[in-house]
Amino acid sequence: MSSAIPAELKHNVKMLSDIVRNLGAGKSQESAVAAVSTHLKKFWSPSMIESLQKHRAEIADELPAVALQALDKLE
Amino acid sequence: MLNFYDPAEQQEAPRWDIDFGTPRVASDTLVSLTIDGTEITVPQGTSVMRAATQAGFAIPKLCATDSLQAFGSCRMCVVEIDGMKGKPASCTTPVSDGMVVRTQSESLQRLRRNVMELYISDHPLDCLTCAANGDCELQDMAGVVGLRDVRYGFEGENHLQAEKDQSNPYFTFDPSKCIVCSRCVRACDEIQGTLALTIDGRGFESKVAAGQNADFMDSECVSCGACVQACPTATLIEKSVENIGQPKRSIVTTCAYCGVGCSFKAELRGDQLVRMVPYKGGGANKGHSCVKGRFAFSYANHPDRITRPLVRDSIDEDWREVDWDEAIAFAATKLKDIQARYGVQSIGGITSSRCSNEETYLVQKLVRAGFGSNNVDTCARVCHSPTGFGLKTTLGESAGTQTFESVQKADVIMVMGANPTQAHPVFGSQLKKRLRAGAKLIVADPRAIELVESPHIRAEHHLAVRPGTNVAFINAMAHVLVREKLLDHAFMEQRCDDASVAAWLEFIQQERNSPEATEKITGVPAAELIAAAKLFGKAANAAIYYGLGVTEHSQGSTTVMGIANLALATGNIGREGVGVNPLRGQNNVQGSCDMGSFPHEFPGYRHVSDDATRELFQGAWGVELHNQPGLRIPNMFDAAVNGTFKGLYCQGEDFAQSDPNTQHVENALRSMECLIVQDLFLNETAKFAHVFLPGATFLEKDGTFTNAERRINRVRKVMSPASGKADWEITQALSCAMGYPMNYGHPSEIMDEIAQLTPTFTGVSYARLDELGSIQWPCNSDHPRGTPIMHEQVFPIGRGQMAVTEYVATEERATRKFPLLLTTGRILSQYNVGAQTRRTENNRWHAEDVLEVHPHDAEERGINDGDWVGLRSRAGETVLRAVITEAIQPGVVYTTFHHPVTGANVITTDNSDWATNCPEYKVTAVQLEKVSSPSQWQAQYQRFSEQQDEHLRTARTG
Ligand code: SF4
Ligand code: SF4
Ligand code: SF4
Ligand code: FES
Repeated sequence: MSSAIPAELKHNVKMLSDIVRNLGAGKSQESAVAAVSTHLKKFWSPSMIESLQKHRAEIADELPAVALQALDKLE
Repeated sequence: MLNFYDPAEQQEAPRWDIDFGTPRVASDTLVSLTIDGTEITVPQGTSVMRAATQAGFAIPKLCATDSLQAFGSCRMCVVEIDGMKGKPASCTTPVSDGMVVRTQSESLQRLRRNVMELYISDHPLDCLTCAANGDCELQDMAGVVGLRDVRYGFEGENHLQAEKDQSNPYFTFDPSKCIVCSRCVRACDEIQGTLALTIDGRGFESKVAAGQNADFMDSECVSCGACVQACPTATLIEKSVENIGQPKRSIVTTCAYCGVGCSFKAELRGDQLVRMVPYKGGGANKGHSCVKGRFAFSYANHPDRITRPLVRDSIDEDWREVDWDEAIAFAATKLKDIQARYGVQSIGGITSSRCSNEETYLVQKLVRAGFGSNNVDTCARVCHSPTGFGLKTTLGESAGTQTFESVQKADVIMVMGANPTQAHPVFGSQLKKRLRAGAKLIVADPRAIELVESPHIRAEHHLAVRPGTNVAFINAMAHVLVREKLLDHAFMEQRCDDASVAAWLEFIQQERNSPEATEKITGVPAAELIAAAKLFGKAANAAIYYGLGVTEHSQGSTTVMGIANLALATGNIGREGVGVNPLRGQNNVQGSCDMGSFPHEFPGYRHVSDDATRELFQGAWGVELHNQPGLRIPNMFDAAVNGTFKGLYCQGEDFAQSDPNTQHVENALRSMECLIVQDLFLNETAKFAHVFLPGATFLEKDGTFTNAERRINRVRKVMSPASGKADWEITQALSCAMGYPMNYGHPSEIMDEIAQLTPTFTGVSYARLDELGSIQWPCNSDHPRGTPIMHEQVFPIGRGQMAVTEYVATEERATRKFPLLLTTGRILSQYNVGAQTRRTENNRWHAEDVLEVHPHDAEERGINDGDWVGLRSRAGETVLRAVITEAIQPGVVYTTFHHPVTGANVITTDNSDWATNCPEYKVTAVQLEKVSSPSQWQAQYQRFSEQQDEHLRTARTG
């Protein structure tokens, strides 16, 4: 994982990547985004989502498009 | 005269206090006979002895007891039966229609007296000084048959000088008192399934032998106590009875160790606990036990126990002993101050699966209503949270589907990522019993666990799945079922969601899920997997049992769903002998999850965003509640390190030892301004605390635990809390001090509130639990006596949802730098972080954690058995002793985490299950090397621990 990512976000970025790898597998981009954003809303505290949204630019390179779109969807 | 409180005595039947001599027989055919002039009707196959006892004519007996099959060796139980020659033994004679039996006559009396005379002629006449005086069947029977003298004298050859075996820390074996009735041998065979005992020799020479004529401690004996329980004399007797004397009263309660949830009679003399006797009426254990519940309770009185509240401002200071009021006020002031400075979300609470339902319910209520956030979690996060997610998604309920008893109807049993004989020992014994009766076994586990091969048991297939590849394995199993046309299409059509079935079928048939394709991923040869899948698919009843070897992976939730898929696809759901059975680690994992301890759910698994549920709780609790999830345990630690999470109330959990990536956890704990730990001992977490609230043991409080079968068992107060407060009272006091009043007078009132607010619990109350003994939820107007088997007609979500379970490889892989995979587990004698069992004689069996290494890997590194080895991962390094064994496959090493100094979690990483954050304890890439000194972490740990012990000592000595 890139060292450009603020240390406090690294774990959340990794967890989000894992969710995308698991929930997104075999799905169209659209349904993957829907599944990931629903999962985040259901199980993640708002503060975790917000911290990633706030640092979107810094983490963008480390996350797949589905993850970023899911974060955008939750704005 | 013992005077026992027994809830079963509140009802007409069954009577657990009576020994009927032979086991109950289940038969729809009834047989009528006459015993001593009284007509009685019993199921066909019942023994004359049992029928007579039921009719109220107890027949003298010595070798018979109703937990064991009849043996017919002592001849004490002879009776007269019309039309039958001689005097048959009533324990081995089955009833028949129209039979006329006499249990009492002069010649019977004479015969029995003669038998007794022979026994007594080779028995020490030391009744008055014998530890079993008053609780000895031999003594009782001598009275019953009217033995007045012994004609043979005591001078002849006898066994009176036989040497006593004191090797076991908990019981003694005095062969001079043995009557060779073989009840102990049969208990070890039939109930425990260890087969550690035999009758050695013949005739006068015959004697009970442990192992190959070894001491008990050096034999295969696992100290379950079944033989002690079965022994009718003082030959096998608890050392505590020898030391303290016979108990005078007892209270039925529940073991506080594993998720089997065994019921025990806590037997006391005055206020002193003499022994824990497994309770025959226990729905889960039916009178059996393991070494932990049966014997390992002395930690309750251990000198390390803290019984006065402690406070300090910084972890570098000595503790100060204070009274309860001061401690609670100190804690509440700190928490309120943190919230004032950092915001409402800056504090939270963690409960433990070791706590009761009522306690965990109160903690989540305190956090949600008193702290004003949903930052509450439970240690189930780090064990079975994937079970909750996976089963809720597929079957609609976050719970196992069966009773333990159900295994007796299974034809094929798959045990995956679980080690029942070590971690769930009483269920392990029940499972072995079924296997000895002919059921077939498939073991899917990286290690050759005991079940793979043990006396009279051999698994048909041991599939040594490589750690981290469970999903690929379970998909391959399903793929074969499709390929071999072994699916239950009728069940899927009737019970499952059509779209989910279609999507699953489309997915699972793909070539990448075939055993040939997965072989290189899982390491399981395709041919072996195909044979196992066929065995599973063709079984009339196939059941799956799984444990932490399934859940504690980056794809734990996916594997749970894969297991549910397998059961749904083969129609193995909704009746006895089948099902999906998560073996829960700790005593109340199920209950702590049921009670709303996860940050996203209220009690009864209802999401916090559900308006109707929230309004219900808001109405009952009188406050506004948050509608979004709070932080989970790892998120709390991350937030603490990041400086946004500052205060934590932790009840009964030791995450500094049990959670992964110890260095990260320690950093998080050091970052907190107020850590409140409520526990029995200054555990690893408490060493970082600012407030210590002394908790109560399970013997000191009322409550309930819910075991792995959803069985709600009562925990009954046996003695007063050593600290003056039960745990629910402490939480209540903290809540009041935080400004959210709670006014419960007894835990039963908490259960009443749970029942009022939770649809699956509406029929549960302490009165109902006393009446029924235990209740398996759901218990409501639809199921007033509870629900032993779930999903018989319909799933809570209507139709079962089959899930597409794509295998995604863990990022934790063996590399050149870290070429081996570490996996972790448990051992029989120790429990979890060992805080309790390490403070008992159980340490004699497992005084340190060791590292199991395959001979090939050891040889490559020049490591010999017993060498100290450094174990290194990308997270950290620790040192422990190597044990070379072929039980583990090459490329994999294994250890346990019961001793803090081992630092097993210094090695584990913060990888976790994608859905629930359950840590991936079971896969860590590591390297090994021979070393001669402890790791840096261990040296630092020793220093820190000594410092903290000193801070405590200062407080205690003033
Ligand atoms: S204690 Fe249990 S394992 Fe040991 S000999 Fe007795 S019955 Fe067998
Ligand atoms: S030890 Fe007890 S149970 Fe075993 S044979 Fe002797 S008397 Fe019977
Ligand atoms: S530890 Fe588990 S199996 Fe052993 S007695 Fe307790 S509940 Fe039963
Ligand atoms: S009790 Fe029947 S033969 Fe011993």
